[in-house]
Amino acid sequence: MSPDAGTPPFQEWHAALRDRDTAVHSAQDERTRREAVEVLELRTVAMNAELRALVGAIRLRDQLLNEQRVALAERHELIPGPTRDLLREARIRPLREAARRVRRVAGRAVRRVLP
Amino acid sequence: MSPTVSILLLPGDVSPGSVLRTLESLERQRDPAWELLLYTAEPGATRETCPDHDADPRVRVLEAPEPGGTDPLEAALGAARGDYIAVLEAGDEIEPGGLDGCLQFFSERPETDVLYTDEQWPGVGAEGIFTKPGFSPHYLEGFPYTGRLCLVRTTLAREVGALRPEARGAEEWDLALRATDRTTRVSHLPIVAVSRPHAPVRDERTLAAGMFAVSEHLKRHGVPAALEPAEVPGGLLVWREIQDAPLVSIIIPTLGGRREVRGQEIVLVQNCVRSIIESTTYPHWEIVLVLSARADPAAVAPLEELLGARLITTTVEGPFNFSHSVNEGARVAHGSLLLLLNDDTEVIEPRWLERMVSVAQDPTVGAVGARLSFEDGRIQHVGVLANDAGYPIHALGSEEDQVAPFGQTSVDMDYLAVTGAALMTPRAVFEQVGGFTTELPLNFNDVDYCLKVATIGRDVVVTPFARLYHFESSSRGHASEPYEIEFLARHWGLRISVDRHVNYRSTR
Repeated sequence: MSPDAGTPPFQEWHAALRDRDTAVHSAQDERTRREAVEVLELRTVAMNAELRALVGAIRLRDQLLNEQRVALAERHELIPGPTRDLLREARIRPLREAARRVRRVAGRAVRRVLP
Repeated sequence: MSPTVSILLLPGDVSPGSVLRTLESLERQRDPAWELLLYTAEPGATRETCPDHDADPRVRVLEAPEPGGTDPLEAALGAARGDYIAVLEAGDEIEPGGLDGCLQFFSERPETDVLYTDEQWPGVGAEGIFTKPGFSPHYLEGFPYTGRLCLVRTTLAREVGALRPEARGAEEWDLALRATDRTTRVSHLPIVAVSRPHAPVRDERTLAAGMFAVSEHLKRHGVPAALEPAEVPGGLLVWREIQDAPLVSIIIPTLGGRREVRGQEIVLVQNCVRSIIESTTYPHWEIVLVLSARADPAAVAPLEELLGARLITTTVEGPFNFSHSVNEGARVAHGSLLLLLNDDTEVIEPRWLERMVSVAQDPTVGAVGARLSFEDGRIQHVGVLANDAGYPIHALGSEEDQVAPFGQTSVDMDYLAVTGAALMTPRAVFEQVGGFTTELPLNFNDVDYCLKVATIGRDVVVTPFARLYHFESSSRGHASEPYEIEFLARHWGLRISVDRHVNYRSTR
């Protein structure tokens, strides 16, 4: 079936749509100019609130870390002196051993080269 | 003066352990402007529910009412002293800084009546992290998405008669619907402010309560409608009564092209129209074929016999311009509802058209979209939103089509735009906004149209229940031209950059 005679004439219809389309876009451009600051301000408000929430979360993390640090220090204090020395020795001994090995290897090399 | 918040604990499991978890999470907030209201388990019981907090005046343990007396939650609302109320369940934890962020928001925007946040609970992958969009009224009609934390001005909550026992199981959904019926000052803060110990309960009881809440909402608006459970648990489809079955003009621009579908070469427009004839339950439609001047007449000839008086054809001259074709189709169409449809689509859901008509009955809606699937079943379209770069993209594009946990593939949702491949719009709206812009002949003309629709105060909604195939690879390519992007940026850059339908925290 072809379009019947009741439909709007081709030229008028498309011209009217085009004019309306242009008007809607112009009105939108004007609205953008008018509302841009307010829209961005609202985004800033939300960002500030997000920031506040993040600060709250970080504050708790810091608090927990600090509690852990204090707890470690307290536990360290509870360890008797000789045990503490042994623990320190256990940490230091491998380093000393490694340094000694380096010195031995370097000494052998020097002695081989020099007459 | 900064506002204060009253947290009302839902009746139910108020064991000391779960109450303490909630309470301790409140105490971790930097801002002390809150109070917690809870009821003892039984009338005459003491403060044992909260033994360690006798001294804190912010913890108000109210004695449970006698059976048959005032509802505990209603009574708690009456007793609340805060400027805002929010409902939690014992065991829910406010995330560190969660309440602080909300109070900061209120201090800068004291006019806010409703503020809701994101939330989480244990779940596989992201299934337990609910990052929500900005206020979406049609989404709220089908899914209780505002959830927790949702802060409502106390005076407003009392005015609207919220937290009534009739809605028990969906009292928060009921509260959100009642409050947002009365105010437009609704904001979303994209922070995960609450961690629940488990996913929200979605069972027969909560479904019935949700149906009650939504039907009451529809009654308040004088909308005759039926409700149907959606695919997603707890979700609903609102079927607005269709008044006088309006004629739908299905406008199909076509070149009469062919392609291989399911291993067989077909004429796309014939396949599309046959699927409409064979699989559409809605009776009142006509087809408007908009032929390009170089379209193959043989491709459309069989349709004349198939459709008879239901077929209208018109031809457009010049190079292909989708917008011009659509505008021309609208010119010769008789229907009060226009449905733009690509010729490379095929009906899947028989009630697709009545679903779209039903949604279009809502006078706040200006454009309705459908769920489109690729031939292999993946999602092609359930709505268009803006990505981080301010570029329109398909939500869930190319993902497996399964029931999304927050209803995106099941319940109606508000979007920035819907694809012109299947877009229903009232003819009056089409004329009011000047149809499709011919300045965009190929890409983004649908996005531009939907954005124009929004400027006249109408919403753009996708109803995923209306499902069709879209054999899209047979269509023209997708590469957009610089002038098209520039057009969008010039007219809609600001609007797209603050697309309220996308949670920018979850996409950046």
